[in-house]
Amino acid sequence: MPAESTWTPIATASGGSAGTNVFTFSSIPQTYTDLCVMFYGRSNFSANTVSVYGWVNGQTGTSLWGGTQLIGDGSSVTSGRYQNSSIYFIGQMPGATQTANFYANGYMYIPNYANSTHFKTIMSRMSNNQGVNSTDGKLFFYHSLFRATDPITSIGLGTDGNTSFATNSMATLYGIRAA
Amino acid sequence: MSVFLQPIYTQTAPGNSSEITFNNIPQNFTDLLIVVSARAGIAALSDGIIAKFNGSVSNFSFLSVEGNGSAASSGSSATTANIARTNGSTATANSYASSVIYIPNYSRGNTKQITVSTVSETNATTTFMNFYSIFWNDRSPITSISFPQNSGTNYTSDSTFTIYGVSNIYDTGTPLAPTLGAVTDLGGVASFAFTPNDTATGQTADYYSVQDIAIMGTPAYGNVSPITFPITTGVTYNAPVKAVNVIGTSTSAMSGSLTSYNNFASIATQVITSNTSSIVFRNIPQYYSHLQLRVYARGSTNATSGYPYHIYNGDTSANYSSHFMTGNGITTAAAAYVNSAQPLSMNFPCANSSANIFGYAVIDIMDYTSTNKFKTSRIMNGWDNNSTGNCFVFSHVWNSFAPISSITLVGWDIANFVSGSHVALYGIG
Repeated sequence: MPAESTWTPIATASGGSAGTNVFTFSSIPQTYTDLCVMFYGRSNFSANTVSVYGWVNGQTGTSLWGGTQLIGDGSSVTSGRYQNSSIYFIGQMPGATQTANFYANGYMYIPNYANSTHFKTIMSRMSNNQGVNSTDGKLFFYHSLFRATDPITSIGLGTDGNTSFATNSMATLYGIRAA
Repeated sequence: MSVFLQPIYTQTAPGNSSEITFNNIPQNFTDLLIVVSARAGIAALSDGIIAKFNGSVSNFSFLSVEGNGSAASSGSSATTANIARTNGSTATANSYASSVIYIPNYSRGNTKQITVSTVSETNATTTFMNFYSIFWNDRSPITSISFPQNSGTNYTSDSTFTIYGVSNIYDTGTPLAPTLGAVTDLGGVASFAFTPNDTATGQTADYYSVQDIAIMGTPAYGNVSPITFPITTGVTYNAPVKAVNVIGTSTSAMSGSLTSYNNFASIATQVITSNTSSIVFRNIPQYYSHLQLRVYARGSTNATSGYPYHIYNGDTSANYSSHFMTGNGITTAAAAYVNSAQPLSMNFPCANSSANIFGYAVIDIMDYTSTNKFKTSRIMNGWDNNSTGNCFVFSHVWNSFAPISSITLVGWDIANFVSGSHVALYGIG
């Protein structure tokens, strides 16, 4: 029987262990058309909400990221920008002081990641619904640009204050093939 | 092949359906004969069943002669045709209308003439008997036939529909077993390749089929390789390809255990290498549940950005609506395009944006084969220029019950999709 599937899990990273401050996917095969990262997470940082952000190819010292955001909080929708950043923004997840058992979930699509002539674009969604008793819930939609033509060979995900992901947090990297 | 009637398939109405369909009709008989015994929930003595070939009720016309127990009459229609009758709920209990439908040369490239005789006999004074002469002004081979009940009420659970193949060559022996080739997981369906071994005169197959030997279930039919066989994720199948004629059946080697966890299949990809004003996907397989398009694109027009749109089945009429909400980094906005022939559904950077920047859109089209729903899609889209950018969420609807068989992306506001753009179409099982 046949072929590897069109949507293939490549690797999974999990939180909970002491010192799991970063989810890293390294040595990403260059044989797919697009990538997708599915994320489910909570932070151990002492706050109600904690930012989630990412970087590629180990490059955290550059200023090559920019992006546009659309955010809804249940009563209004706003748009904003960031530019010349060393990381790309994905959204927020609950922190340690948020009601227990709430996790955020989201995904990132990275099309044409192995291309060597185009800048890299990431489209991401994050849902951080904290329930009806919280005003901290938000829905995030980002479109980010990495102004480098290098193929993406690694992806890292991190949080505010470089603190750890809580137990049961995870991120899975998938490869997507086109015909 | 044989002069005998070769039963192909029988369907018994489940009781909760107002339409019965035969798909993948084998193409190597000469004619088709269909026998219908039907009753439906319509509050009437009798009602019609509409003619529908290959998913379409278009291009039909018919003449009828009718007797109702007290008078004879004749009627016609230039746009639609009834192909059979059902008894309704006020007809004598346990009575069903009987119809015989004959379709000669159904698989040839000619227009089709169909003869029908149908009776709706009960113990009432008024009953109905009809002769229909139906003309289908379409040269396509008939590969599927549907029987939608005219009023949309459900057929009762004892209603039966049987399709037979008729051929004009006499068989003398069982067809030779085909040789099984590659079995390929296409995500929601498996493709069974085979080589016919019809070398002996009088021992040719009328058609080929695939059916799991343990689960059984609905066979898949075809007369050329490959045959696509629907599979459920996580279920293990083991099936041969069978060659069938009226004398008997022969069987290829078994496929071996076949279990798919692949519900997301790549159908086709178009890579743009020069300015292209529209991108078309045709002959979209109808065996998936949903479709997804992933569009990576940039436009050629002398602007920072622009809006393409997508349409279905070549329908360029004002039969669409779309809406979007967007943020550009400073403000949010929304817009609507109602009853439009240009239902804007994406936004991409164009020539005046920085070089090497492309936008991305993911278009999800749910239930694209449904004949009961208008076709709705959801689009996530955006691009960023480091100094400017946009996030978009679009919704899009096509006001049509037709299954989607083609999708066209029209550059329109962006003029052309430029080299480096690519569009991938996926089927979701």
